[in-house]
Amino acid sequence: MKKILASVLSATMLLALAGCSTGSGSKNGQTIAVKLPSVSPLSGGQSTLGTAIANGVKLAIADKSEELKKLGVELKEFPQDDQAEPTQGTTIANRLISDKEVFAVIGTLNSGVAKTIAPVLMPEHVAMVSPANTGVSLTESGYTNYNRIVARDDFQGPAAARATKETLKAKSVYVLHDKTEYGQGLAGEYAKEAKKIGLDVKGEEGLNPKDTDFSALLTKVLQTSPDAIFYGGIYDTASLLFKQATDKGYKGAYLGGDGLDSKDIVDKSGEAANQVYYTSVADNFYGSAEGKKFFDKYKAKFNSNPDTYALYGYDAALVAIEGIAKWVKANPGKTPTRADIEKAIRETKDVKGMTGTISFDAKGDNPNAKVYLFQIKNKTYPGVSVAGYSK
Amino acid sequence: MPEALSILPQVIVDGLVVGFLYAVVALGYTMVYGVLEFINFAHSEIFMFGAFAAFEMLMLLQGAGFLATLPPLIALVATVIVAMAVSGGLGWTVERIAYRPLRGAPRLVPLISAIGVSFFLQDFARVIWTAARGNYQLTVPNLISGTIGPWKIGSLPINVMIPISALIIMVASVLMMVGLIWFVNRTKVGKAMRAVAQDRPTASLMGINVNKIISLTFILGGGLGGAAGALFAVRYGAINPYIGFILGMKAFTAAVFGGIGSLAGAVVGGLSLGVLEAIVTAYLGPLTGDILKGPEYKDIFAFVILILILVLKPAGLFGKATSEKV
Repeated sequence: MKKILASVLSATMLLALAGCSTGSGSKNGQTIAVKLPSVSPLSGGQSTLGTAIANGVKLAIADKSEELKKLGVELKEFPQDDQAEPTQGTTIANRLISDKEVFAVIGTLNSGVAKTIAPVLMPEHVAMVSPANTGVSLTESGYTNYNRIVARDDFQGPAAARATKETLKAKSVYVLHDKTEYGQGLAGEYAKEAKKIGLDVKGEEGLNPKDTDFSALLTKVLQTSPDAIFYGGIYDTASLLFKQATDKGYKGAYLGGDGLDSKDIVDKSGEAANQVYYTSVADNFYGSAEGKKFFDKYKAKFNSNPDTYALYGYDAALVAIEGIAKWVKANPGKTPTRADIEKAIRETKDVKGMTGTISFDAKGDNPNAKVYLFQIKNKTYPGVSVAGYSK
Repeated sequence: MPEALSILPQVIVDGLVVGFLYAVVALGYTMVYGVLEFINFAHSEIFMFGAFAAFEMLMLLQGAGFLATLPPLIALVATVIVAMAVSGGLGWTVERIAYRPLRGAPRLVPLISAIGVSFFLQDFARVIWTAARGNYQLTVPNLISGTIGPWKIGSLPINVMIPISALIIMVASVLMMVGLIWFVNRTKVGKAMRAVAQDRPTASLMGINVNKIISLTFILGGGLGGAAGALFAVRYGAINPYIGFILGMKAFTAAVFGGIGSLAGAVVGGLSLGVLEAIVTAYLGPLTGDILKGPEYKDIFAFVILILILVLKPAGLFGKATSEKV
């Protein structure tokens, strides 16, 4: 009985599908092939975050490909590895503009890499939706093709500074960074706000993220006995730094931006993990029913637990796909130019994503982006959100 | 600024830990230079393989449940021995395949071969461990944790503390250095080694098997590098195929600074470089009113100081014009 019901159901669905495909899009029987590349580090020290982004994009493509097929658009995965190297970004960007099936790019993780890619893609009108760049200048440089779904450093940094004072009740802080576009930018914005709201900034220094021993630096930092240490950088160096500070008997809090938002910060920091706070743009997501569904889907497909960056990747891809779908719906039977898609994506309004509602303003920023402070408890990732800030 | 000075003992201890790692790796460079008069640039990758061998050994111990039951010191010694064996064997293999066929060639040729081996080993490790473990960024199982101290020095406001894993680096390094210097200076094989270093044809005429002695040099140097790799893995807990590069550069610098070819020079050079870096990190900022930040400029300043010393003493601290090699 069940079988019969199932076959009847699937037959009806097939009919419905057939009805759709004759209804719009491929009226003239031609499909538009669209490659949706993700650009993120798939190898190297930041590959955990980069792979999560690429996987998030793959999931979004899988979820949306049926819907787009009905519109006559065939979506294809096209993951690229930028190795977190700006120079590698240029090479990839040049390869992407020569591929006529590429209309929009999801990436990058690192602001420094985005800076080399966006200007190459702009004259070719290839749109970019970044799941993770927080560097302020990216949306202040007049790139017509560049958009991002997350909050900027001049929002994330100050929010972290306010959380340091209000939530952690800290009075003093030592600011460190990894001398990269992202790390130094974030740490700078953090320190500026921290001073403004009356936190005692004991020092501000850069370190070489390729070093492994930070003992001497930490001796100097801990001598000033700060209540908190802020680190602008990525989880791999951060975990070495935090672990060595805890070895030296430091009991205060470690703070960082979204660069620490990875399960590796727990795996690699040892005992220090329980002192870690980080900011993220998505609230306690896996607590919700929707989040659980995403978690299970991700686990089934990639056989690992998702980092928060998988959500960002998913949402960034979703925005790009919605942009393409919107244009194709409005112009049935036509093939879009790259400039059409670039414009459609920039005009994104109120797309409901996993991390929240996404819109883009005239510069390509998402005015709805929020920042939450997470605390790691019992060495478990993700942490628990303890404060939230919106613009 | 007495307040800043109160951290000086701790800064020196921090620097010594790194310095001992430099020194043990520097011994590998200096030994090969002493015997063959060329720089074995692949030595930094032999160090890296030691770290990976230690990782595999610790995973094996963990898998068999020994990590929780064995006393950590025994597990550590076993791990270091395995790493020494792997790296010593690798040192021997590299010499046999990449250097011995070029023995008669001009000195720059084996140098190029060494650089090639270095690149090869880096990517070889990357490919192997990506295939075997899914990722070449590895988190080493925690073997030794805890900190000794803080000790007070008299009634002064000075505290010195040291993580046990860092203390182990220092103790193990001292043991290995003393052992090596004893071996080279006090045993018959050591004497043969010194003879080969001074004059290869004459040593050969005296009945010394030159090829065997050269192989032994690579095994010893590689073994020391492997031990350093294992200690590094245990202390820092995170390894990748590229950890050898910066450490190798610094160790090579330390060997030149101490006077390349001199064992004591490598040790003193390594320790000086480590302490110098730590002091620049901690004090450059305060001394320049925070215009130059210590941790950002530590490499630059440490190297400027080294260059100044080498300008005054071109053969390095312990190098002599008629240097007694090895």
